[in-house]
Amino acid sequence: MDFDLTHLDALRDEVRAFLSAAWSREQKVRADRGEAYEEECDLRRELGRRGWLAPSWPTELGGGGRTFWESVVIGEELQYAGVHTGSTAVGVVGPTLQIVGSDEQKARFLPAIARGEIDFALGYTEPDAGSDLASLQTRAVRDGDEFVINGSKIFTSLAGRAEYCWLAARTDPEAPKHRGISLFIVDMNTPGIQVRPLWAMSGRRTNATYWEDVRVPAANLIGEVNRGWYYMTSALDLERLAYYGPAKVEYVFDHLVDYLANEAPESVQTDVLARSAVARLSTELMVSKLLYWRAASIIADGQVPNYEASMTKMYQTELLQRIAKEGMRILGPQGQLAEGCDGAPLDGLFEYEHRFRVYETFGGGSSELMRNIIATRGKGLPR
Amino acid sequence: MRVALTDAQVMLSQTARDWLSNRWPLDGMQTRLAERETPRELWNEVCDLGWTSLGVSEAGGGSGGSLGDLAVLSEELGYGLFPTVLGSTIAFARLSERAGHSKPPWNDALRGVVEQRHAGTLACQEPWARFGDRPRTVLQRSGGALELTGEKWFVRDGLVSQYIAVLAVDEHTGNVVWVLVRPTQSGVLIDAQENAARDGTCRLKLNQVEVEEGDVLPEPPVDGHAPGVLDVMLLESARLVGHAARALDMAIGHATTRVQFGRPIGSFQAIQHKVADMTLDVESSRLCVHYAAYLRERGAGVAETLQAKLWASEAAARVLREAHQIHGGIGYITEHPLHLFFRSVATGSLLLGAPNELLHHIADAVLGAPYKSQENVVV
Repeated sequence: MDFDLTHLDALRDEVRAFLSAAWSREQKVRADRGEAYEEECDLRRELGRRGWLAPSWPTELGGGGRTFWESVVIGEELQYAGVHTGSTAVGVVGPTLQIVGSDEQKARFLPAIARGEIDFALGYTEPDAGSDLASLQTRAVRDGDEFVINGSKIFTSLAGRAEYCWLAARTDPEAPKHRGISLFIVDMNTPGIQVRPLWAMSGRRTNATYWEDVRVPAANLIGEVNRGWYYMTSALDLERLAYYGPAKVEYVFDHLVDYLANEAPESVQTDVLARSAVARLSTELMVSKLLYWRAASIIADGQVPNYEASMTKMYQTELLQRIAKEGMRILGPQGQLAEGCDGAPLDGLFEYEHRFRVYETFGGGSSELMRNIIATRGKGLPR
Repeated sequence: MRVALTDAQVMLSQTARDWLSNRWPLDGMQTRLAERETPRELWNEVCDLGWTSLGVSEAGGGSGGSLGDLAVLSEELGYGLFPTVLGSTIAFARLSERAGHSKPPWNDALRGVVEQRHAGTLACQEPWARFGDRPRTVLQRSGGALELTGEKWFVRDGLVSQYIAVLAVDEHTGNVVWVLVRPTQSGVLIDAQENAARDGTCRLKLNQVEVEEGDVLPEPPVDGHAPGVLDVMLLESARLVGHAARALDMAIGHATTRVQFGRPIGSFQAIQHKVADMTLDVESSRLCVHYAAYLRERGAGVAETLQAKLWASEAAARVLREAHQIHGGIGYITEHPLHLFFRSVATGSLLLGAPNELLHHIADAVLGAPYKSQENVVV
């Protein structure tokens, strides 16, 4: 096995240097609370200008024209800096459009996404369609040159901010559930869309959205009608996998190590239980990195990581929760102090992580589903 | 970066898998393992396959395999539960080659392995010592003579090896060294230790064993650890991966064919989720081993080797436990081979860095050198 990425150290340093100046911890904290969206948009456009938002896309599509592993390195640095802009647009919309989009859709959306000019909300989950996503009930009915959308979506996090929604709706209620879904791009300024904020325990905003006679041009249908489910589940590529890269785990872990090695009182620095917990987490971080690199390596070989991507997602999100938990135990009673509170260790990073990371093991596919996939697709156990 | 075995490694692993399933099958394995001594014709075959000299350079008569190649073979030997003597000999040969021609006795031993199909092993651990402690076995100089005195435990295959490399401290220089010992030498006493795996692990007592200057191989430490010990740790980790991989395959085989409540039990999510976690444990510990091997080949990777051993040990223990849970009663009966893997994991996970010992060393590597109060820590 070959684990060498050192030939890309100069690029890594360049991205890191830019981000340390362009995206401060203070901005990251406000962005995490959903209070810095305009600044996130500015950063997104700047990343787009540098070709770092969609690094591996061809330059004629507005991408960076970078090699695969260059895009891995850039993605790792963005994750480490806590930049999470454009993940739906770059990770889901772009790759799918590149495969099944019309020429007009590609020309209209891909360069705008890669330059960071537009953003997308993800309209998949519904109140009654979570893990069983294919049972979604929002309807899209053809009416001349338009589709008329009716229904409701939940956890449409960027609704109310993003310019567009990447929407999954049922176009054939008679067909088996996987075969009656289509994908659309919807302009969020279209009449009939109502957005109601839902405030998560992380402090971040997500939304419920209500769709009443929303008229979408038929030109905004993606690919073939009723093929949406297959588009949703097939195009897993690097940009989507990158969300489950190890760098954000590393960010939290590095802060814990820094605290324990330098800031903590001696009684904590010399606590065998704390040191043991960090030693174990360091090993698990290595595991998380290796699982990610393996999945990325499969993509680099021109294959699609299947259960390997599920394993990466499951392990990384569960590890983030373990780090948050162990961090709280190591910080002791001080761990509860929040960002901005006098005396909060690491300025409340762990108080936030501990709340925030709760969602990771069900958002984006629950750990239970990931385990089902590993056992059935990966190891061939009967369904 | 390419996180996959090379084509040559895939071929090596397939060759080993095929040979082991034909020549060292699960059927009757318990009886064969109890005999302790590997049948001569099988030993000749593994030598002919070039496995004992896989880590020896081509100039030295081997095939110049990397640490990663050795890990591939070690994993397969663990998967097939082949007697440990092969792994011990591979590690011994790799160590011997470092001595080069400057140390004729080591060179003779290497020739013995490559040409005369001798076996060798390493004696690293001592009774009630913690992993990474300085050896208490000492090389003393009295007059012109060199004498080795001490006691080693958990010496694999000591009773079937022609050579034993003993980790000791040269009292004169204070340096850690390997000393080449032949079991027939005066002052050497070897007896078996009945351990969890019943795998022929030995106790070695050395009472003023006379050795020569050429028997002494300096072992400059890397980050406080003997490189030869790190190598053998890594191979042991790979062996544990193989044990876990076999237990996983056995569990999947059982879950697919065992019918209860009218369905194969593998169709129940309770079983599937165990299998998912076991799969993660097997595949991730394999990645850790190869990552550490890759770094070690480049002169780094000490902490990663310790982490790989920790992870492989704990992962294999989890996998074996769950394999037993999935098999239920039948896996608990000694006619079924699962217990053999369970036993070998119990042994391997404690050898050459037991988890708690490793956590201390990994913490030091991550958080900085030994902290003030370490002397006061009682474990």
